[in-house]
Amino acid sequence: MSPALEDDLRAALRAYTAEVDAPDLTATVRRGAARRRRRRRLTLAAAPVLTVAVVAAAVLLVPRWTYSPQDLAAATASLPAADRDLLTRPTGGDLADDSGYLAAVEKAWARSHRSSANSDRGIFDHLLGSPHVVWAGRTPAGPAAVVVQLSDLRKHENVELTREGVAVLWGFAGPGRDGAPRVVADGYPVPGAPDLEGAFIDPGRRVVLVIDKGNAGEEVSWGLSFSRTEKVARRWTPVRWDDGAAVLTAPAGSRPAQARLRFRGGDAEVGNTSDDPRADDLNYGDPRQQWQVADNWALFPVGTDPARAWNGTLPDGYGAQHAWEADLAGWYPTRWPDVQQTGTSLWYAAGTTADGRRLVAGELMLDNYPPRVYAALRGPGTRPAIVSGPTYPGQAVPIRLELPDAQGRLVAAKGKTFAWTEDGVARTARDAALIPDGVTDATADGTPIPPD
Amino acid sequence: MLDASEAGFTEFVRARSTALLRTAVLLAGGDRGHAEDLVQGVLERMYVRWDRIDGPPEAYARRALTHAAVNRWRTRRRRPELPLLTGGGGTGTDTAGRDPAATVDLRDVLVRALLTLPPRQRAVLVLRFLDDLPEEEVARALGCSVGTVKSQTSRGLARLRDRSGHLDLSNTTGGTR
Repeated sequence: MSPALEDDLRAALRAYTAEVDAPDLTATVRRGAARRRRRRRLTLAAAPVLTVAVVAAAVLLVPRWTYSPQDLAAATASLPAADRDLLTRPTGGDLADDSGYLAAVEKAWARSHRSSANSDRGIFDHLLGSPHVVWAGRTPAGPAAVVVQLSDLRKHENVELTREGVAVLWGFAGPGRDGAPRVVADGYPVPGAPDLEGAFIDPGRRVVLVIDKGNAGEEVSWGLSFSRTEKVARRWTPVRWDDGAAVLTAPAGSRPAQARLRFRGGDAEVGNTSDDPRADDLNYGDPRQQWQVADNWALFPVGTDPARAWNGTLPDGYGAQHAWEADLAGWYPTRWPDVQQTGTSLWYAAGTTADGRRLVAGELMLDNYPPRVYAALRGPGTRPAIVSGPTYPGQAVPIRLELPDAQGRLVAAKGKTFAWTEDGVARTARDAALIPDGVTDATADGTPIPPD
Repeated sequence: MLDASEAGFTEFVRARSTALLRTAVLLAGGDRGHAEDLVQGVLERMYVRWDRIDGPPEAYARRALTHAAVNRWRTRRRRPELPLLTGGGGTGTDTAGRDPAATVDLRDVLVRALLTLPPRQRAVLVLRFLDDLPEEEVARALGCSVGTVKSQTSRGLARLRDRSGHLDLSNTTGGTR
């Protein structure tokens, strides 16, 4: 390999990380370590119970760890009943007898593996037997199908498995541009994650094909809403099976990435919510793109005693991120029950409100939830008052949040200059501002700021 | 933790956090938030067992960081990785004498290509070419043989060449294309 490439790579990596500087992590690490110790104590206390449970599960459930191709039938027998059923049930749907279409689906399935996002996880490296079309039928989006095939999943640098061995892969096919079937989603049993049971089969992401895996009480939810206390709620409607599958149409205005399936005792995943994994972020107005400044977090000083540095400038000596973590990091997970991620804001507005409380605000976007803006006001020795609300991506002022107790309105728009009159004095601020309560002439780059 | 140990740990965090974070950013596919989570998690574990760490803490930290990044739980729909592509930063001299714009383009393409590599292969290249670790230390950090490091390095660079069109870019030097 040429030294030139190595030199270029070395220079590229250094250049791209040159501006990455770590914040002072000492205090954060100490707090985290204390949490770990507490968790460890709890874990140790629970260890005897867990040990008994694990041994019992091992005796009852652990299948053979190795097998030969000749043992395929036996290995298949160890699969969950629902997967065995998928492999053997007669093809359902009104195209079940269309042998040409079924053959086209199998061909599309075989052709799709190289371009699949799961390809580099090695799940297609050891396919076994032939694919089986479980369902094929007409839908409002065109012909669609579900195909399954056995695969011998093995350890691979990019995949984590609960065990090696035979498993069922699922594929969902919709109509391609040329009319031929096109596989739009595939999946395999992912440890700790719901199985793929449905997928948007059309480019417009309006039609979902769901395969019946024998789950009782299957329901679909197309979106979520936030309560005044930021608790997330979903509306669920039953899924009606027809010959082994259900064809569902998403309501207008719903976001594909928010679609979920559930059944009695578990959750399932809807695939093909986006060709571009960032598309939903972009639709929401990805806060990282709006706010991230030179690969560092942005801090916007606001209020009567604005923070101007990360550390030590807020009334109680906290830096903005520390204040955010102290007030908010443990708050939102209790209200967003199914998020898998945790995070902190990439931008902060920090300072002091008119009544002397510390203000820290920021924005979160986790999993496929839409971004939400939060603000926490904390006085000496009191619990923080936390408010939250939507963002307005694409609008001139995407961040507008009314603070509690008549403490004004937080506004933010990267690069814009805010102006208002306060007690007869003209005020300005750039990027973000805390507009005092009662001010009616606030503008952003000369344009009045809209009401919420 | 005793005062002396506490002071040692604090000094280690202060001195090495940025270097670890830079490595983590690349291991995490350019996702700064995830990188900070990784570094913080590693430092928390080190804090808890600071007095029992064998050998240099830096080596332990890199091993733990690499392990956490490479073996992190894979689900299909985690938050997408955000490549660290804006800005560019840094002022390294280009020994090939390319014009600055071409150099920035080349670096951008190389980092983009690096971030598409499988995590383990990416980790080998990051440890070798950002951290300048010898092959033996990379092998220790990844828990594999030196031979695997050699082969992964070779394959990784080959994939970078394929994906970045490195030769084509190099040939633009001095406008000779």
